[in-house]
Amino acid sequence: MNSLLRRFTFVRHGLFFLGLAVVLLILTSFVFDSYTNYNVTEVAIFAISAAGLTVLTGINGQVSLGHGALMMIGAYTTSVLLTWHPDLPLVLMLIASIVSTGIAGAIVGIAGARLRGPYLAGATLALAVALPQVPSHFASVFGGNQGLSVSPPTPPAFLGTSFAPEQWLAWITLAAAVITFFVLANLVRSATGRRFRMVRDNEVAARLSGIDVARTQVLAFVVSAACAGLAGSLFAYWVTVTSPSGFTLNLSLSLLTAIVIGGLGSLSGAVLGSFIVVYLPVWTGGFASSLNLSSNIANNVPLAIYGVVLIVAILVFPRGVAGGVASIVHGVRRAAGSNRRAGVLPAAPQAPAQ
Amino acid sequence: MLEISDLTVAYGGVIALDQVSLSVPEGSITAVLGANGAGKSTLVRTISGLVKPRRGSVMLGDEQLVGRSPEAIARLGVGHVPEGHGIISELTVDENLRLGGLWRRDRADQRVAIEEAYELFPPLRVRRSVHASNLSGGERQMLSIGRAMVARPTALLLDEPSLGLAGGLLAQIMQRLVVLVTERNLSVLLIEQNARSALSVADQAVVLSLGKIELRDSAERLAGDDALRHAYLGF
Repeated sequence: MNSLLRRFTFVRHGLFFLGLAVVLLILTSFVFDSYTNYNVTEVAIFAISAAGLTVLTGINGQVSLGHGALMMIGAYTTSVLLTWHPDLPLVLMLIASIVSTGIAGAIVGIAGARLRGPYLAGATLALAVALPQVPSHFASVFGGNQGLSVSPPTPPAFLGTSFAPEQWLAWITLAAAVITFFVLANLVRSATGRRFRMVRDNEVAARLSGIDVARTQVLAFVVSAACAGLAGSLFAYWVTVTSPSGFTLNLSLSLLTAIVIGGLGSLSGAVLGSFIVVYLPVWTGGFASSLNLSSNIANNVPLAIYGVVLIVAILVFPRGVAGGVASIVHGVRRAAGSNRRAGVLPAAPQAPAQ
Repeated sequence: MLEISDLTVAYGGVIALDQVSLSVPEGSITAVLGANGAGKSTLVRTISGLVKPRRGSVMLGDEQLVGRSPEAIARLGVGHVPEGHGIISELTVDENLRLGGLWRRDRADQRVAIEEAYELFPPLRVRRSVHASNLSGGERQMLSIGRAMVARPTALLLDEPSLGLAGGLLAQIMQRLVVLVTERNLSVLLIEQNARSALSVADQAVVLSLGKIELRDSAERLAGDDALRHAYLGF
């Protein structure tokens, strides 16, 4: 049984994510209150987008500072379609956003395949800065700076009239997140995933192994953008207003922060990082307001703590929280003398190739 | 048969290869010797498409390689084992081998080819689920050659396989190489600074100097002629 699981990654991942889905279903239904479900939804949305960025930046070595802008494309796809046809089902909206953002990702990827390192970062930065300006120039379609309002999905009738909409959205988002992570976990372990890493680590060796580097990079961008599009669409349902102010450069930087803090190149790191980036302001905000400080100081305490946490996390966990956890587990196993199988510890995620 | 004719490469105004002609018959090893900067690496990099020549042609069988991209040349059957091996340390030995010949549709044959790589280099089989970052220099070299072989090339280019390897291990790898050449009928171009090791396995040898072929002879004769050895190879 054990060897079977080790051999068939797909089966193993399938069982793991099925179990995860059941746990999340129980938590959101019986343990969490509406406010927690609301926050968990945000973490899941963030994690979907961060996972996409992990594939692009962590696994394929292309730095993107423009993922917030890609999320914006997903959010606006959903919002504009809903303004035109309010009755279209949610699944269709999600798919439309995935497709439209995937196409946008292909365009950015084709342009970006010629660029490396800081130049790619610069180009995607331009996207993050420029795209939020678009809605105000086409206000009739995109609602200008006020944005477009989106009504949150209503729970189906069979769940009863008292069923909380927050819980319904949490179910949808977590289901989307579980499916996304299942697909990405398999992708990363597949031949395509190995190709991504080879292009990141050694472009010359990749070409000598017959890999089309540019095509591989564009593919990584499409996969990554599709995740951002899905996250953007869910984000629109979650905030209920899609406006340019939701997709500033800050969002892109937070995503990058999340994957670096979590552990570059690791999908579980994307989840941990998203959790930290989303929840830290919530906790520190509550902490600051409990101190009875003047509002001027209280408003800045969360930012200061955020900065300190980032610095400490980088110092203590140079390979991210996921990498730190992995080496602690490894250390414990070694101490217990149960480290029979070599290569248990995942190798350190490396800096993206220049 | 790998047929190089009149190959000239320049970096800016500096001529790196000057009208080099060379043929590597099937089932044989041709050693390319010479000092640093003689143009050895430029030669293999030009064959595999990483460097564009100014003039000349490289034929693999009936296919002209000049003007094609490195990935296209790899797909035509040129295996290039780069200097420094080019293996991915984050992946396991097995995953690295599976990077060989990724473009091929025949998945079943890829598994067979990976098994053959393990048979060729048994130390790799023992380490198959170890991350490549934990491999020794010799194991990395075996992995790199093994990966190139998984793609089932007809020509194999080896760039300084002796770099950083202990003598005994190098001899072992070279012995495996000889077996490979006769079994698979490969055309091997072996770039080496370590002339002694290269001549012990090669059939013919050329000495490059400042981008020109200075000397071309059978490996046996070159190794046996003291005067030539002293003059060109320094041992």
